[in-house]
Amino acid sequence: MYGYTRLMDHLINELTKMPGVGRKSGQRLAFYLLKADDEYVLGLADAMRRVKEGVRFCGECGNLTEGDICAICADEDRDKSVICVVEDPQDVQALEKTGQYTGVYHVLMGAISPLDGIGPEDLEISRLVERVAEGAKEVIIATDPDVEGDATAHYLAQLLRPLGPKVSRIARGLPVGGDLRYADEVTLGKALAGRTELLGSSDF
Amino acid sequence: MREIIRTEGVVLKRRDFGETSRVVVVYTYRKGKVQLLAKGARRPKSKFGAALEPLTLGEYVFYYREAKDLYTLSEADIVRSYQRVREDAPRLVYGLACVEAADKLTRELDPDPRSVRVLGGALDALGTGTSPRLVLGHYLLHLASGVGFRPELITCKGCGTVRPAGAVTFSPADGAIVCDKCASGFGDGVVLKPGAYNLLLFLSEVPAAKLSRVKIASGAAAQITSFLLAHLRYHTDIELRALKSLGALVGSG
Repeated sequence: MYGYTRLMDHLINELTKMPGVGRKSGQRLAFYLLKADDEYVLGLADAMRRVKEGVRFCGECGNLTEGDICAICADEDRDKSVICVVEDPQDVQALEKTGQYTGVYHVLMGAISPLDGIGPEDLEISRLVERVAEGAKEVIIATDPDVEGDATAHYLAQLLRPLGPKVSRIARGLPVGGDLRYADEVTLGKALAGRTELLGSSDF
Repeated sequence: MREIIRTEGVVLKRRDFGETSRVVVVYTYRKGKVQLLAKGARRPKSKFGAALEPLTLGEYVFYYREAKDLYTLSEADIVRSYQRVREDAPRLVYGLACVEAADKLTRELDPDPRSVRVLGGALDALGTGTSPRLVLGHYLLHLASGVGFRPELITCKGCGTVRPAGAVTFSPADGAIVCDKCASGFGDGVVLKPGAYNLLLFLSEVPAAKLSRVKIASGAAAQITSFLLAHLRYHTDIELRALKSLGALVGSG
């Protein structure tokens, strides 16, 4: 049986190494690239090369940057005494989109996952301890609301509390636009526990 | 014809699948350990909610389709979420150790309702004031028995003495205790002091629900857990990663 061509087969094989891309999707993408303008395809290849060469992790917080320090850590207006701890750089983007957080971040590069053999030593925790010891007033733990996130939050709280800062965890509850009757009891219980007082009309 | 299965079970672990889905390993009453494909489980508004988190006892509805390697999950409801276990670091660690041991020592599609019940009992006990280390020891002992590695605790392998007095030595190679007099003839073993030995005998006879009444000598539960881990390691090569990676959280337990 013949494949497409050696080069096409190689491209398809490389594309199928990407997350969520199976054999058929790999073929579809390869044919799309084959038919696309030269300018687009070469621009894409160049963008991928430049990302690999130019993007690194912030020496302060672990977020993505093209210099030594990320834009958030370099921002004089951010409150350096409040550190929000997240699992991945994507989480920084999600929190930044809220426009409600003015502190800085620390990216752990994962979460403690005992069942996968990922322990505290596999995460960027020692730098976090240094940053907190330098005088942080509050650490907000924004790990995922799952068993790995819980384990990580427990571990960090135990480690960081003796250093003095207030250690908090982001609230959990119902998603906006969700339907209360379909929520499971754990989510609903957390939503009740984390309820907030309604503001008066003059406060709106 | 498509078989639709509705059964309770305990979630042992899960992994991401594709962009938004998860594969969940559930130890169920009716089918034993099964892998379930939960489509869209990672979306914020997923209908599965928290029912797919490890350490959850839930009711699961799933079906099998030809040409698919996995069962497909269609419904999931929480029966017990074990929030108290999740919110206390040592209990979380020991709970994860329990589900990890269950995952590593059981085979897929090999139903054993008693073993699922024992696991549920251990998680129930972890949610009470019972020493979590004692719960793990109790669970490992009953799990080992359920999967064919029950240690012989009553009779000395050397001389046949029943319930020997004083300290005993457990020989992992023989899977049995030997009394103080016979110990020298059985090579290396784990020495169990009288307190730990008597506790072990007690644990072998009671359900997890009765553990809250047990008053234990300092170190006895730790000794029992170490002994059982050594026994299981010798016969099955398992290492409990949960205990290793989160040891710092457990303290003296």
